[in-house]
Amino acid sequence: MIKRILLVDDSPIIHRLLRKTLESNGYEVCGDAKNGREGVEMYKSLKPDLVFMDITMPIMDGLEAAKLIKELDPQARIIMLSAMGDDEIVGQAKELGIDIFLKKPFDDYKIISAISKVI
Amino acid sequence: MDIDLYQIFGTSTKNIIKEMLDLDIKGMDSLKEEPGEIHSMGVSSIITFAGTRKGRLLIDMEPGLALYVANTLLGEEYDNIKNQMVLSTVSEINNIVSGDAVTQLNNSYSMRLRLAPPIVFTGQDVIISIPKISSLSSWGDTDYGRIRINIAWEGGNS
Amino acid sequence: MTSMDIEKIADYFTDSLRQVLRTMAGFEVSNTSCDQLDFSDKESNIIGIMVLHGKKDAVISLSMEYSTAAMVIAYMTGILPEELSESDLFDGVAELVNIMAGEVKARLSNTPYHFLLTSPFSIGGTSLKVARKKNLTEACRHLKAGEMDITFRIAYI
Repeated sequence: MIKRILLVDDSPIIHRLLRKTLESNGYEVCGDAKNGREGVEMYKSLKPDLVFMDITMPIMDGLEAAKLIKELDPQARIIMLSAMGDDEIVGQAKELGIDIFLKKPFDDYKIISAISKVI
Repeated sequence: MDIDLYQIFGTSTKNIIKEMLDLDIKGMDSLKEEPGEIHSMGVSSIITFAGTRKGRLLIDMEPGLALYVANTLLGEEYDNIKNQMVLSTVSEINNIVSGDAVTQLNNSYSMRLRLAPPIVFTGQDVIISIPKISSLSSWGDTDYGRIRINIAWEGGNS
Repeated sequence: MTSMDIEKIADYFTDSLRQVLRTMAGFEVSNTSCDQLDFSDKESNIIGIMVLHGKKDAVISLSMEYSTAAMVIAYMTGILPEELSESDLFDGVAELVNIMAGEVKARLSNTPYHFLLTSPFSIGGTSLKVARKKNLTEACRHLKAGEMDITFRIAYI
């Protein structure tokens, strides 16, 4: 069964790049959210197998959105994908139970190997 | 530490451009003080960061390089630098370069810097004027055009 | 951040700017809302910008034609418009943003919207296009006096 992935990032470029990588590797992008709040709403309605979540976004940031998603569904699988990756941010993400933290930039290998560890 | 605050952005720029585009930047080895006004080469993006200190990074590209970056990353054939996707791509490159440099500064010097989203702009004969703050620039060349980075930290260059 | 909050904050900024223009340039400007077109990537001549770092970061900007910038800075400094250099205009517009933001910073200091100032900057040119992210929480105002038209924008990002 094809795994369904929700993308949450405010950059249209990142959506394009991730979609290209995911679709060419047999995954389905089931939703594109532009901020954390949209991401939480889409998670509720789409029930994806995995979420790629940026951190710095308008309306609601990725850490807050991840926290809400984990409260809704403790089994939710989330990969953080952010330009920032210092110890403090990575620590905050770990406390939320984030599966993997990836720092941008990324290539196909980095994305696909991260997914294979999570789902 | 102080020179690190500037040089790290040059290193991150070279590394990120190489990693994302497999493109070498020649030069970008030295830093030179800029006067108050910077004449944009084509597409410019500014990102600010704040923590224990405040600073900003400007990335400036010639049109040919900006188009190459967008077309290569997105697999498209844009020919106008005013295209929203071209501007967004330059903006995203700045975000990733700044994120990389700031992450290293935070881990090395506990600066607790956080990025604000970048602003990107283009036009004819564009001048960027940043009064009250002196800055250092570094230039590099690629096969598709020149790139300049300009870094400023509030509180001076020393 | 509700749309009511951002409209109120936009009013703080424009009240501050009106006060600055009244005190320093002797202008009385009217304050009107923007139409939808003003939120798009409208091209202008000179834009003063400041990023505000807070719980949510924001960008504020003042956009105007060179002729308006020359008029405002001339009245503020007492220098004739034709004697002002382009550099004077850039400095002046950045300073307007700085003064306006400084005053609002104090007003918002004990609210959830308190912020840190950063160095203002100006950009100028012809057919200038500034791109921002889409779907931001934003507000816009026109400040007008005669043919002068200054556009203030704030966007939380």
